[in-house]
Amino acid sequence: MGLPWYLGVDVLVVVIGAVLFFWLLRHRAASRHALRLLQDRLRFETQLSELSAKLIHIEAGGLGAALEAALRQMVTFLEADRGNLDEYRDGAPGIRVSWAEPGVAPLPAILAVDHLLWTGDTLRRGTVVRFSRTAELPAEATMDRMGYERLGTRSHLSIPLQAGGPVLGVLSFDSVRRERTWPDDLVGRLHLLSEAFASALERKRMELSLAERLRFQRFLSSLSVRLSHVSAASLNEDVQGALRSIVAFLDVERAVLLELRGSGVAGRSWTVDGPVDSASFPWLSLQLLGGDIVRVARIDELPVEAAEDRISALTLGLESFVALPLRAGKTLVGGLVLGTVVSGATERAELLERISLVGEVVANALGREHAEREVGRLRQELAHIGRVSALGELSASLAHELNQPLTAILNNAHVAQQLLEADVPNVGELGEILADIVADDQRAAKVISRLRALLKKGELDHAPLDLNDIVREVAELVRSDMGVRHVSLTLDLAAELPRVRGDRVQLQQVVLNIVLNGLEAMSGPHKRDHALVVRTARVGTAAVEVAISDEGKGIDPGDVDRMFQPLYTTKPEGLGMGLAIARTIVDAHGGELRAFNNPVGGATFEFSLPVDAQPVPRHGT
Amino acid sequence: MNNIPKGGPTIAIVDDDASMRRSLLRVVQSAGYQAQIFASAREFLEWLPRNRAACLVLDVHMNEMNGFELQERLAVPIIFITAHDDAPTLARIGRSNAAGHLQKPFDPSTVLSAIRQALQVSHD
Repeated sequence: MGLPWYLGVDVLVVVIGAVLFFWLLRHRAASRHALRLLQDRLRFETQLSELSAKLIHIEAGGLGAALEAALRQMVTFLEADRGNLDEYRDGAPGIRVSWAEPGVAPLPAILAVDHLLWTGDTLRRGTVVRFSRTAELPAEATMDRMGYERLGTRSHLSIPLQAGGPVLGVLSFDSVRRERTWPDDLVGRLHLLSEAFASALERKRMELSLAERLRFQRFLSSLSVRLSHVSAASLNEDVQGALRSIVAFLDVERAVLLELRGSGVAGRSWTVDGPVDSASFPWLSLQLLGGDIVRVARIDELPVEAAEDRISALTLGLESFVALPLRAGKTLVGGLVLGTVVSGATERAELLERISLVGEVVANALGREHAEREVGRLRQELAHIGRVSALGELSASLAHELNQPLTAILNNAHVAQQLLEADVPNVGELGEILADIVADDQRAAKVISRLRALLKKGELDHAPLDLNDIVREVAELVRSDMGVRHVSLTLDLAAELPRVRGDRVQLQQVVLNIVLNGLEAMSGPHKRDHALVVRTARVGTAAVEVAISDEGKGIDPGDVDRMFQPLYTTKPEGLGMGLAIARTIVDAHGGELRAFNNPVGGATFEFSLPVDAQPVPRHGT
Repeated sequence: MNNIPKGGPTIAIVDDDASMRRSLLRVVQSAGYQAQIFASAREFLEWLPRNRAACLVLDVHMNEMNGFELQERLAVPIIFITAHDDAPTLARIGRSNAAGHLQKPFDPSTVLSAIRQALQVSHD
């Protein structure tokens, strides 16, 4: 019995047809799948190019919003719930942009790193982190798992963003409402997208840092301007204002400026609230003297020997601080302490970098204030020497006043001696004589005490001096005056000038008086710029000379003889003492002061002093 | 004490400083001279018409009329006393033909020797 052959053919036909049908069916499905894949790919590539184009063509300022829009597009496209872009700074997470579907909470802008440590480590190695369920996370990521669960994340994909260097950030997607997979090809394609994000981030960072740097430069220059007006008189207000702007700009909570002198001896100190009395940081001062930036993350970290510093820090509310040495040139002038009331908050590297720059500006100002005080001290000395010079002028009458009683005493003592030698001394006359002697004693004592008052602190020196140094010191003193008067000061100082012997301050006064005289001679309605030249030279082997030439009106021939007399002046506001004092001092030093008109106009005042007969060995040059 | 009899030459002392004046008087009298003291050139000129001074001990720096101005009106030997050693004063004394010059502070014996010298010169 068998089936009819045609039936077999039919079955075969059916089978073939079925096979054909199924083959056809499969082929169609495959091609449809291929088509869909192709379409997906096209859509993805379109998204990518669109996103890249968007990310490239936005300004740094609008980058945040653009990144959020891009994330939104990606989240929708990937059918995820949340997309995040974490920006890394110095290898650690910094700012985050997060977008989430309605009903899902976006991630906070500041990333808490401590519970995603494993994830962070993995990403920093350049490896993708992905899981469909938190249970897939390895055993060492227990903390991370708890962290993800707290954020409501069920499935997660993190792709490190690198633009040919360290990790710039992380692009991540979360699925919150369901578990899902992240196939390899998706991840592969997301890598392409991540590159667009990475380059956008890199650009943003560069532009931001440029903008930041510009802003910082502006801050520094405004600080410089503010501090360039620091004077001894307004120091407290100026420093206080500067500290306030530093606190505001650097986003710290405390700023203390310490003045240090010489070997770390503490000077004055200021906070944003003004000068403070009790800020003593002996330990810190010593560290700063070594030239190091001192970082104290927690006040408890201070060593035992810093007990006093600790008390001061606590008084000023410093829980955590960075202190840096302030140098003006090579000299340590102080320390800038910036701190927070929260422990460990001053560890940011960028903060340190900026503090150094701010420190430079403050140090310069402090150094300038030091210099100004030094100049002030010098002026005081000069005022004093003015009195001493006046004493020189008065010496004739003072000598007279003193010699008067002294002579009378000598006379009276001589007579008293004779009276005592007599057989019967005249007691009455002796009494009168003694009374006169006592009175003259008192009179002499009064004169001497008046002298002493005038000479107070006036121990006049008789030291070997370099006239070049004296000229430089005076130039320093009058430099600011010169600018205001449109006068340029030129120093033409002879090399290897032999030393003279005398009083530094008095000789400074000579140069100063002549320079001021020259400046006065060049003042007037004419506005053109003038030059004042101070020249030093050797005259033979026995003398050195300082010549000060101005471009003023010159000397009236009738004035030449009188101009060095006291109280002689051609200036309405002058006292007429300057040149007289100068000549008195030069005379006292065994020198000579002369004046003459220059052939090309203006006058030259010239004084010569004898070279020190006992030369001391020079130290250096 | 009075080696020179009374009625001998009178030494006139002109100085505006009272203490100085009195001490000089004592010194001169202790050497046996007659002496008169005056507080100013004017006082001396008022005394002069009725008296005679053999020698004048004269302070240069005085108010109203100074020593030089007084000298110009007199023919008696003059011993100048100064407290100033300034060049103009010294030059003026050098030109003045004074019998002597004492600069304060001086030793009392130098006044006496200057007086002796001046009296001798005036006797010659």
